[in-house]
Amino acid sequence: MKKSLIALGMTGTMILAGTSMVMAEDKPYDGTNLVFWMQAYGSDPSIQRAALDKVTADFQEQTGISVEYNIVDWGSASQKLTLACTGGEAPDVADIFFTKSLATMSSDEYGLMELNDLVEEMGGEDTWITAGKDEACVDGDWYGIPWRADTRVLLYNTEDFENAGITEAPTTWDELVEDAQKLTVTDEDGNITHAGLAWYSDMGRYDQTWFSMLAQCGGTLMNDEFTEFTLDTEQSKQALAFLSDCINTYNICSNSLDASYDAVTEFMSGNVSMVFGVTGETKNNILQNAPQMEGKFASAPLPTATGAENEKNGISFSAPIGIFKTTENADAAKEWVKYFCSEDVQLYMSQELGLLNSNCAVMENSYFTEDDWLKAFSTTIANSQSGDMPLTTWSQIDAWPDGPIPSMCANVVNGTDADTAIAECLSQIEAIGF
Amino acid sequence: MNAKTKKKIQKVWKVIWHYISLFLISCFVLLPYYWMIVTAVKPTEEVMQSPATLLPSRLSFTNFTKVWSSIPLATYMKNSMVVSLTATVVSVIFATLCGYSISRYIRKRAQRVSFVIMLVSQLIPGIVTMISLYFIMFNMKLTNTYVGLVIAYVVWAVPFCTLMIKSYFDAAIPVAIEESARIDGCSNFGIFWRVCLPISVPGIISTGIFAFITAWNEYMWASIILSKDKLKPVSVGIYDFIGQYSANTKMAITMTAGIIITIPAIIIFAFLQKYLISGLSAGAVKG
Repeated sequence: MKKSLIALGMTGTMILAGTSMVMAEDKPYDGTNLVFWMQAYGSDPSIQRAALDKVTADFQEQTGISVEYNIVDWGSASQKLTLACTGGEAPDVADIFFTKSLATMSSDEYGLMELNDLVEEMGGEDTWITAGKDEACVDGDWYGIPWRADTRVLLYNTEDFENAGITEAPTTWDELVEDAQKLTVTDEDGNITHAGLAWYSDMGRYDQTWFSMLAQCGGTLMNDEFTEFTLDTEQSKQALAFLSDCINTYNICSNSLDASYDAVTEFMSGNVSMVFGVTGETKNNILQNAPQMEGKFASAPLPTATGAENEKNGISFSAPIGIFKTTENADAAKEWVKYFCSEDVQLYMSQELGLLNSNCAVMENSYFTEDDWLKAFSTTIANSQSGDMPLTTWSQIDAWPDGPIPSMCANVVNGTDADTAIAECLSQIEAIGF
Repeated sequence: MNAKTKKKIQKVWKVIWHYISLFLISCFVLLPYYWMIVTAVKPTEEVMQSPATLLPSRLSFTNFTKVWSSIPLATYMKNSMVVSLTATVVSVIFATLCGYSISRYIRKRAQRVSFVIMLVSQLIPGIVTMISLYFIMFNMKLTNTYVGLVIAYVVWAVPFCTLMIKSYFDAAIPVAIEESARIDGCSNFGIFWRVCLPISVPGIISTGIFAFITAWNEYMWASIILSKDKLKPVSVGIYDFIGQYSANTKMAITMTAGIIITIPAIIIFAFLQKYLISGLSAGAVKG
């Protein structure tokens, strides 16, 4: 009896030990706690919290790793990330931006961890769009895994199109001008009372509109290595001329120097028929603030200069997820990044938060390619170049309103000839350095 | 028209102009509040209408229920209340002790020097000290704590509160009362505690209101030192509505949150207004 009891006890102990060994192998980081910072996204803060609650709970069930997420407001995100890279409080993992600046200010002890191994594990650099690589990769090393993305498309009022007898969205600049002329209404003095076209970036900020136009006529802002600005080109001048002509020659869009002018607000109020260069979130914005517009608007890829296919005729933006060197659980943090940036989770987050994605496979999902609103974004993003240059001084070069590039665009719109404006811009960029 | 009638007419005109000026200034000051309230109760389709409408076509109060589920507003307000009240109490204690000491026990020259030091401290922009203060708090493991917030708010509020309460002690509390108490055998602290404090309530309340509003409205420090959602005060929490590129698709709900957030401050002003005015004017006019 005694022997049987001992044997039973030993068997039980062995089973328990075996089970815990299997569990330990399955969940090597069980009990680890991670802190994750993420900025606010989407039209409703409660939706983001619910989505993160679900994703972190699923991850904990799979790995035993608990992730405490904190929503960082956009107003302080830059300071917080800067402090995290320079010896202040840092999370284990964070949603980052301005990667090159953060990587440059990082030291041996603090800042962003290099993640080349994770990139390889997740399929290599072709997994993400060009802008994803440009934003996350610094001097050949990856400091983040690209996740959210954005691009620019044309927003138009379908009712206005129908009334004007326009059956399809414009695909070339000539068509854009022709359609906008049909849709524009002016008073006796020639002042626009209903604009056929408006630039998305308001307050006289023309730089982002011009970036799109530059891409549409086959130009780029810098060379492939990001070592030289390529502004003094035919494409650059062609894009500047078109930007100016739409306002000054064709009289199809307002010279939106009024600080209170907002193109989408005017669109929602029925004062504008097309908005050039809206973002993915615009649909939610319209539905939340102007429900009467439901079913009366659509998106289309931005028209190109001539309609001829050029390789990267759109612009896109991306942001990565990074890991900080100060983390005490680097491997667990990598597990979380891998999970969070996986296709399934990214598709779910995109759906919940109304975001586009840097992962090519996610953007090829039917959710993006078959949706009436989103398909223009998926088409554009697949054929786009980076809208932000991966430079440490980019925020100075593209600073609004006095940075060299916004100044150049505004000067051309206000009558300066393109050659003079470009020369001035290049000399200012040289003075800033990059 | 005789001189008397002329004078009377001039007086009436003066009063009319006085009220017209008051009306125009009030409109200017109250317009943002009016806009906040009107946007909160407008039907959704009118919120972003251009040109904007001054009056809503109908009233909609749904935002007042939605706002509580959109963000954890109750938690944010509780955090703000805890931090602001603690900072107020601590600031008032320090400022009262300090202000009374300067008013009564420091020689004229030292009094002037301490006064200047406190004034100079008010001239330094808060942002200048923020990074060094952040690293002090970080090394003391006080980031992501209420204590870290309260210490900073007290440090910023005490100099001005001290100047306010010192002026009040100088102007409103006659030294003769204290001398009578001293003759009756009261100690220095006894004079402060039993005689001066009870008759300084208006000054103390106005000082407290200043400390409370400073802490309640503060954004920058709280946004830097706190990263945990559950500790955010309402001034930081309301930023949950602001997206990338400062986009806000929930303008009406944000305005609703704005109304709710201002209610505590309005209540405090409404109840303590008479103390605030008498407390401030006592120091300002006679000090």
